[in-house]
Amino acid sequence: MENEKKSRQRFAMVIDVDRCTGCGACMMACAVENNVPPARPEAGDRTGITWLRVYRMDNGNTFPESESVFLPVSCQQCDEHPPCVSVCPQNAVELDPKTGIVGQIAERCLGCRYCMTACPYHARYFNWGDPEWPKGMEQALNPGVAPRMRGVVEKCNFCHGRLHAAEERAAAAGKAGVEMEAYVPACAESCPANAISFGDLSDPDSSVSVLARDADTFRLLPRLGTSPKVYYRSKKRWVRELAQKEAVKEERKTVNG
Amino acid sequence: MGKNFTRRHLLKFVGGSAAGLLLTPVPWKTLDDVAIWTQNWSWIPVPPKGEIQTRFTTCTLCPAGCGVRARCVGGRPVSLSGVAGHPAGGGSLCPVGLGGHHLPYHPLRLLEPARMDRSGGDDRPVPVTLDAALAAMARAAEETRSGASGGSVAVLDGRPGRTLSTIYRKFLGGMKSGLYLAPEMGIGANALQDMLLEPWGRPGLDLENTATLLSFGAPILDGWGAPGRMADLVLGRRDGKGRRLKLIQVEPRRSRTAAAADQWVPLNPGTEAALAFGLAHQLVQLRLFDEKSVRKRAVDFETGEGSSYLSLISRFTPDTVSGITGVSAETITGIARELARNSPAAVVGGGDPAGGPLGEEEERAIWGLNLLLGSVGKAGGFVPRREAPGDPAISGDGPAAVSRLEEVPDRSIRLLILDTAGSGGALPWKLIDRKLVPQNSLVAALAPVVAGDARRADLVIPVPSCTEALDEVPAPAASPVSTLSLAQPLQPAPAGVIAPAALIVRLAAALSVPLFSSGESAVWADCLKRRVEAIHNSGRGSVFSPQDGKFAEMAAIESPESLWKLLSEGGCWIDSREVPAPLPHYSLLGRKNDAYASMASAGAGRLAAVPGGAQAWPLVLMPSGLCGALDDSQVSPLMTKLYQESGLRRLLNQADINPATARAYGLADRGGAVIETPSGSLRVEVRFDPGVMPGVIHVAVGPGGGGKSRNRLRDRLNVLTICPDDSGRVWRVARARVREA
Repeated sequence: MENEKKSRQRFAMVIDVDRCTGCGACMMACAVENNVPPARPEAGDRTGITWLRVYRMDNGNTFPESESVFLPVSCQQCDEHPPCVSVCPQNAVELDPKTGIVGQIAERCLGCRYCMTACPYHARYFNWGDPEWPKGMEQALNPGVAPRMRGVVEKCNFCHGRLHAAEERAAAAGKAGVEMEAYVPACAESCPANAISFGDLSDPDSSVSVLARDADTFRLLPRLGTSPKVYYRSKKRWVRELAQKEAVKEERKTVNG
Repeated sequence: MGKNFTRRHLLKFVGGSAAGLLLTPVPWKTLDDVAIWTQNWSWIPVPPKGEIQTRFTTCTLCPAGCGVRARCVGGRPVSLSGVAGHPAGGGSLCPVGLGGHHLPYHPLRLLEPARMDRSGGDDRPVPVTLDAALAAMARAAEETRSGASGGSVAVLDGRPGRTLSTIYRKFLGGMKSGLYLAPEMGIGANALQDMLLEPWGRPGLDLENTATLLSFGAPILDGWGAPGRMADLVLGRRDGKGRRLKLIQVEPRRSRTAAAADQWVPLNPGTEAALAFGLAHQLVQLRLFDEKSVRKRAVDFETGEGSSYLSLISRFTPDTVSGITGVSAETITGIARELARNSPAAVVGGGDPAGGPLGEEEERAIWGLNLLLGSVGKAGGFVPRREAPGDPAISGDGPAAVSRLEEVPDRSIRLLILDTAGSGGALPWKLIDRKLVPQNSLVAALAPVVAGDARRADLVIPVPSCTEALDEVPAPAASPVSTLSLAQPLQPAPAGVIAPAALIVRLAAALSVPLFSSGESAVWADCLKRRVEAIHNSGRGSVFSPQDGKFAEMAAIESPESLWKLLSEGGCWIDSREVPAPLPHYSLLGRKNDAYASMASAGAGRLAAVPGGAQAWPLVLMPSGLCGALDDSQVSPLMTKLYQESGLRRLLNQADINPATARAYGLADRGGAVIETPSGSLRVEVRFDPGVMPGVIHVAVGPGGGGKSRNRLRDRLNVLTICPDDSGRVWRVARARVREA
């Protein structure tokens, strides 16, 4: 039992909000990596699919005292009591005890969207239609990730396809676990500002563990007790305070004054 | 048995069987199989499998020249990423570059030459043969050369500085009245060339050694340069190595760059020249400028006459400038002190890519600041770039000189060839349109997709997409040293497309215009090989290898073939630095006769006087957009994640307005509005943004969303169509009014 515990990894992400420039490279890299299809013509920000979405947050002041930051929000990979796991009638959502990743099994999903309702971070997306790519573009899809069909929910899984590939390489090399150098999600890899750090929280010396303990680090909606494994950092107090509120709805609230 | 088997027994058996079945795996397995089966409909694409390879190349979607690591499956790229340590890219790609491998499948992709049919208000490509298209272009060119029809032949080169650009110029040099048109790019170097009294070389900005950067609206962190490099310089490297510069961003709205800058200075739209003069005033007044150098080299700093530079800036006291720009006198003085204290300092212009370059006067005012600060000709400032050797075989008549579009007489271009390789900036079509001979012009666009300006052409010649062809990537305009990379084809180009160089070679042959030295190959790859050989023969610089992230000195590279191989595998040649030549004498006002008056006029602001004045047009309209994504032509269909599905960036004709301003006009967030200017009106969708200055409206020029639409051009008009067209060059600010739609 003890050995099993030691072999467990808890993958986590720390996003430095002060470094994020809101360029959107992470969103693009995520969609490319995970074969998320382009928007249907009628799709908008409420019906589109973005496993990772960058929100602009404002401090609520008027011009020119208004300040803004960009907050990338994906599945927060809750470590304790993930609401989506407990509500799924199909066991289509699992918290992998070996990695700490909350996975979504599309083949089991019935499309009831109970998990979307339960998720306090609005990080789950429903396929309102069949995935469609422009003619020929299916040749540019990532063969490591299966496209999802209409009627199922999908979300960030820390680029599970990359984890599988890293596990295969590790197994081929006769190694027991995945080395962090071999496994980096697409968003962290693509960020020009190096705002996204990724690593193993079970290693107390890893960069994410060190950053997670920093005084400027915070998590979204901590009062819910879900212990997200996506951490954020900002030296700005108003950002840390804003994150305690309903993060996703806050954008429009502050923008509208 | 049969006697005892009753109906009750049958029902019991059926009921028991049904209940028992539930205790077996059969129903659950069936349910599971049905679920899996319903996830695997035949129309759900299955990603093709194949051999996985990693290839290195260079992004050609903008001039930055970022290194690309391509993951290819079965010989086709499935994802692109940056190359760590690449001297041009800084290890990252922008969102436009990350989707570069999708562009061959663009919904608006053109696979054979087409004539644009606009009958019935539609713009529909009608296929024509390449021979027919070439014949039409040759006929129009021949008519101008023979004098059978008036007008000239022109090429509008979207990205000057390439070997292809030299071929264009050679072709035009062989034509009668050939015009080579190139947009202003980078740091406004043309303005400095106009100020220097002797040749000095094209300046580049030595950003790695800059301590303070004052930016007049240049989107430093949003497409101005390679994203990774700029982030490292402005935000500092995560590993703490390297130097971080201090960024002061001057622009009306809190843009992405302004939000990340050390200091954001909001100023009234169109008043950049006044602020530059105000800063110059304080630099001189407080004796913070490089007085010795300025008095030695500037011919018009203090002439004793009323038209000297000193007399001009003496009119722009901090209080006066504060009244014009809205920037406080204390802030102006503080910036001047900071520029002098934290040196080397550099000042750059640029503005929003959709708004076009700043005016000539603003650029001269900004260069004046750099000259006062002693930043020109010094490490950490602007240093002259030694140009890379070109293809020695391109010969013939002398090349056509570089012309500016605004200087071309109206109604004078008979044949216009549009090279749509993106410079990243916008150019209103009406500025081009009024240069064309009415009713008798022919516009031929070389483009992979029918989008952007290609929609407005008469002929569209399909060219390879960015991952389909061998191409070269020279140094971006602002680079302090010359560089050269090659873009390798990652996948085959469709049969119907033709490389721009091959097209011009065929056109030149049809018109008997010699392009190359006798006996030299006109094949595009051979042109590039000759250039690489010339670079190798120069013995200059070093080559970055993406495989191991190391540099190799040119002396260690045995042959031109070895250099070609290194560059073909994603390498990047970077020239060695030399000691800058001494700065020649210069004119701070510029060499034009009316320089003093035009500079003084620009200092009053760029908002043109309009009938009715500010009372009738109380708002200011400014176009906005992302470098390289100003229309659908270079945008992956997946960019809907940013533009349509999240609202992170603005779609065509979405307008950012300060909430207080919007409410004052009865507008609602996400509601419709009509913006009017003296040049026309446009329907937009309102988005509230507290980072926008009250009284200002920023309207996005594109892209259009999804890239799927083939709807009519007239339905896709962008804000540039209602921007002012009288100045010919500056369209970034316009007086406007708004009403609810």
